[in-house]
Amino acid sequence: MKYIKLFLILLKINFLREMEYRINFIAVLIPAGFYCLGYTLMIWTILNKVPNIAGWNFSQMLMLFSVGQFSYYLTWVLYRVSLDYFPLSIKKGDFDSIVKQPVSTRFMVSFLKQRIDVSVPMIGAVLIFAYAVSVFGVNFTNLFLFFLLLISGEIILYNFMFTAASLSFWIIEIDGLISLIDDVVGYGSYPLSIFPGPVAIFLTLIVPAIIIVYVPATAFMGILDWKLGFLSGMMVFVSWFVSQKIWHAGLRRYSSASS
Amino acid sequence: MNITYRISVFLRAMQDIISVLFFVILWVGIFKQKSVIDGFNLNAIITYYILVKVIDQLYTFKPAKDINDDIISGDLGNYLSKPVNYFNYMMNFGLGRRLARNTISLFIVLLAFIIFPNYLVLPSSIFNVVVFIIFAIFSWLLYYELAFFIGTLSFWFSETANIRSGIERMMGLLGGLWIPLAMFPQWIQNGLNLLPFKYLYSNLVLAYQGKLATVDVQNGLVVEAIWVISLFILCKMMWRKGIKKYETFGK
Repeated sequence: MKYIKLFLILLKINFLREMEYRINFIAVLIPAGFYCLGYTLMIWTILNKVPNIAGWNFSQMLMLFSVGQFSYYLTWVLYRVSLDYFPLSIKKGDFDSIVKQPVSTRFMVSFLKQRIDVSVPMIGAVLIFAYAVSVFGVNFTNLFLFFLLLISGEIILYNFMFTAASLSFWIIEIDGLISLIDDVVGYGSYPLSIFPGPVAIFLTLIVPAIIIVYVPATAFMGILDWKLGFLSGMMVFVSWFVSQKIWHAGLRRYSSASS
Repeated sequence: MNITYRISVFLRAMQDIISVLFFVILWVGIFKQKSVIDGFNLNAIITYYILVKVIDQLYTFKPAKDINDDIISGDLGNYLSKPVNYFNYMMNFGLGRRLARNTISLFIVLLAFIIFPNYLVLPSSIFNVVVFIIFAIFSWLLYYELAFFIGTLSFWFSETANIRSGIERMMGLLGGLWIPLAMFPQWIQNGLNLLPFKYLYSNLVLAYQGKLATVDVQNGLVVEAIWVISLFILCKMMWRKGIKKYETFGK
């Protein structure tokens, strides 16, 4: 309860800070809009030339895309800015003030800063999702599985990003890694069958883009591969365990940069 | 500065390489259903994506951010009090910054040659190479001017991070970074012909591949030159208006 309250306070502070630049707040729709338009136009153009992409039609591709976009923006609303800031805080010595707080350091590192403005384009992802839903219809079992696997995917993604950020204790210029992970997770918005074997394994087990985006989307469409669903559940615990291990190893290694 | 942060440079290069590989994988899947799409076969499309990625390395939108930062922080005052032409300074700074990145471009091309020796199509003549280089210089100027123009919006809007990001994406989409413009329906292509963005990527690749007729080269160079001059005038106007509005103190 204490952490939920604290999270809401941080959310309010960051929201007020962003409202200083109101036009920029609304302008977030420009990049998000162009990305949505770009993807949709690309897929639509391709599907005007060939009947399907690895067996997937336009509505199915849109479903994958909307889940990918929702997941992407959620990371920014919740923790992504904080994790980007973390390596910098170590470099500048600001991390000392975070460690001294009488709350979980992992919590503060993860949720100190948010970007509320990206919640605006999340509406776009929801609208595309709604369109795809209108095509597929709603099956409540599938809907339940979808939310369950979406939450699992988000937890796995957070643990994964946090583990990458924790490497800052050893390698200071790690920010590019988080951005690289972002890109690779984006490939989860494409059908698994399009990837050759080793790439599919990489995207499922190493950088689990497929687990984060593809698996929940297929659950909604009623074409879930149960092995992947089970793997998603397993990875929630494994990723949490690994992230905690690396985080604590890093904390033990940390010595202040400030004088 | 870029080489000091070796891991960052390596990770950025990985990002570029992975994005090219992804598009290759996607198109290999698509070309299993059809051998030629709008004049592109698999080899041509792979060459296309490698080239647009290399071309993309030449450009930088960073001046837009630097101008924004200078205006917000008040550092712009330092430049204004010195006998420095800010437009030229930013242009040279941006050009210098690309040097490290271009080393990576070279690396991407070499790697692409190793991975796809049968896929890459080389320019068929020296003439195509020369035309490509001339177009590339014009396109670089065009891109820089667009970045400078967006940067000057900071005089009015303060923080422009989202506008910058949006315009950058728009230039990529409408320029052919995502998909060759020739694949769009004709009505979209007609609309894009009225805009300068096709000169940033698509036109350059066509020049490299020798797909532009002599008359297209001549017309293209004239139209692009008009865009470069028009945007230059627009940048100067924006700068003058912005400076009149700008206030700074201290330092």
